[in-house]
Amino acid sequence: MGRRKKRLITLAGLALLILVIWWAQANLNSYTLRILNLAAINIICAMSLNLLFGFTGQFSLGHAGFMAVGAYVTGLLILPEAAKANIFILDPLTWPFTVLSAPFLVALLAGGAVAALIAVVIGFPVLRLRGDYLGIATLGFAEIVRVLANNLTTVTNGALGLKDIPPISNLWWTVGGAVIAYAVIKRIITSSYGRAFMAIRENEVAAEAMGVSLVYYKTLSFAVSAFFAGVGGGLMASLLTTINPRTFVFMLTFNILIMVVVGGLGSLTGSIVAGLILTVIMEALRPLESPMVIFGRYIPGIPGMRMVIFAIILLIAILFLKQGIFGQRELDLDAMAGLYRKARARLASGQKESGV
Amino acid sequence: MGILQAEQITMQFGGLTAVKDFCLDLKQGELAGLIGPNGAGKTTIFNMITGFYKPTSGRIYFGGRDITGLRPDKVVGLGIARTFQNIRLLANLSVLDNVMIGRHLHLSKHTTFVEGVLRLPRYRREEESMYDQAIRLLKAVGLEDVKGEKAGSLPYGQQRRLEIARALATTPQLLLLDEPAAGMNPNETKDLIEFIARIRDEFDLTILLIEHDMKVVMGVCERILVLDHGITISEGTPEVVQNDEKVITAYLGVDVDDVAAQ
Repeated sequence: MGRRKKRLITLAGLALLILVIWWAQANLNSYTLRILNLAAINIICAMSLNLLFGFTGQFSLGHAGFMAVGAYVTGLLILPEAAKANIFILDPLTWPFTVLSAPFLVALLAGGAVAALIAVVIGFPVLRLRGDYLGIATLGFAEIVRVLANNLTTVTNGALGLKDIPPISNLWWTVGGAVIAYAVIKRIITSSYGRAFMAIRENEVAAEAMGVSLVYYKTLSFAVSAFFAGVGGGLMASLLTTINPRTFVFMLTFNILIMVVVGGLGSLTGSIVAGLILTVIMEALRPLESPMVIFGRYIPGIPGMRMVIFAIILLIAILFLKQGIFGQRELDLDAMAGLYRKARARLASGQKESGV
Repeated sequence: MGILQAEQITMQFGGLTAVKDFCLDLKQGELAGLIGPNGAGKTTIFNMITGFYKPTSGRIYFGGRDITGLRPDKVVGLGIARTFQNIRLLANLSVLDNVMIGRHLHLSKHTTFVEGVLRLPRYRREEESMYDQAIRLLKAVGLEDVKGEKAGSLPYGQQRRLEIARALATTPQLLLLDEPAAGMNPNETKDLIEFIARIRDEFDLTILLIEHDMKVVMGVCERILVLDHGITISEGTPEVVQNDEKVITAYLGVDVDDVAAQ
């Protein structure tokens, strides 16, 4: 497919997306909007984890930690001064956080930047580890962030967390963020630098022998991944308007990891599809936890029931789609053009055979 | 002075001495061979030269510069490329990508990550020249037709050639080949001998190779070093090495009667 044609289709797609968002913001109820916003945020985080795990081959369980960092930074920057005074009752907020404030966009970028900076600092020692050990070390990092959030009361307000965060997040921000994240990560992985990431995933020894510095590129991938996780966390803070250390428990990392695996390690579009589907399924299963009558018998609500069903759905998905929905393939314009050509060829040959 | 000097390099793993006091002076443009029974320490020497192991003692100089203990990616940057005994391709990436990764270290010298993401002109120029050079290399090794295939799906002989092409992509001055003929049939081996001689001239290389196939070693190498239990037991032209008692003993062992007679 030609470059101009591709660009045209991309622009048309974006225009369509803008129309859909515009319509959705005006017509959908707040519950549906909340789910769509959550899906977009999950997609951002899943794509960023995919860059690290699916493309660079570094198993990380620290995403909730980076999201927490982004969420707290963004939250503190967009909370009005008066609100801060109201929230921090037990221990007053320390200077300079009392006076620091920024517009939402700057706050989001700052959240991402701080997360990326922390990734660079902890990446230096931690990224020497491989496989499961790296997973455990990054999980440890996420727990440290949570414990700090619980105890650094003069910055995070401890277990009470931040509340009354201005609800600025809407589909424009979340879907916009997802589109930008997709564009940036896509460009990274299709560049020579992305090839270096994938070389590390395929064979560390060979990559190093070809002049790819393992320390540098692993840290780079880790930092970019943390940046988008931080931005996702910031969007989430403004969407939920209340954040506390319990928001960023291991379950959050786990959910995102599942989206990456179900979508396909090494497939960005897979992360998008899986992020959307799984977020919706998680919500759709909610009625299972309310009291119901089955075959005339009254069954009280069982909290956590939807997780049981969710786990079963996952088991089935992994059993039948070992490499996730897309494997390492992408469902981008080139792939769609290929499918379209194939379908037309099949249609044409079918017509010939039936003599029409 | 030669291009590579190894001065009494020794590698110990705990109590085991894998290589002891190995010395080597490679001249520019030379094609030398390293042979010896299994476990003699040949690959360990490669690993020390390319930075995967840091020698326990001794020093290595490349082009007059001390490279002892330098990280592997730095060593490649200076101009020493290698292949592996057990092929290490990027199996899920295309043949073309496998060669292009060898050019990345040159690209990253002239452009930055941010330029790459934004596809700024300087990055695009570098990427284009990277692509052209990769294609030229693939043509040189006869793999242009399969450039879109996954590297892991190639037949064995082609995988070996792809690994050499990838090493060449880093524009080395010194190429280390670790058993390039392993697993090849006689026909493929014959092609390989011609291929190695050809790339040395075409790319102006100095080559050091490890090989068990004596046809290859005797066919292309101008100088041979024989290693046994980490010690260099013989060195010289193929004829000299072939007739060296110590070499024959190392490979074939000693007749019990001879030992008794002594």
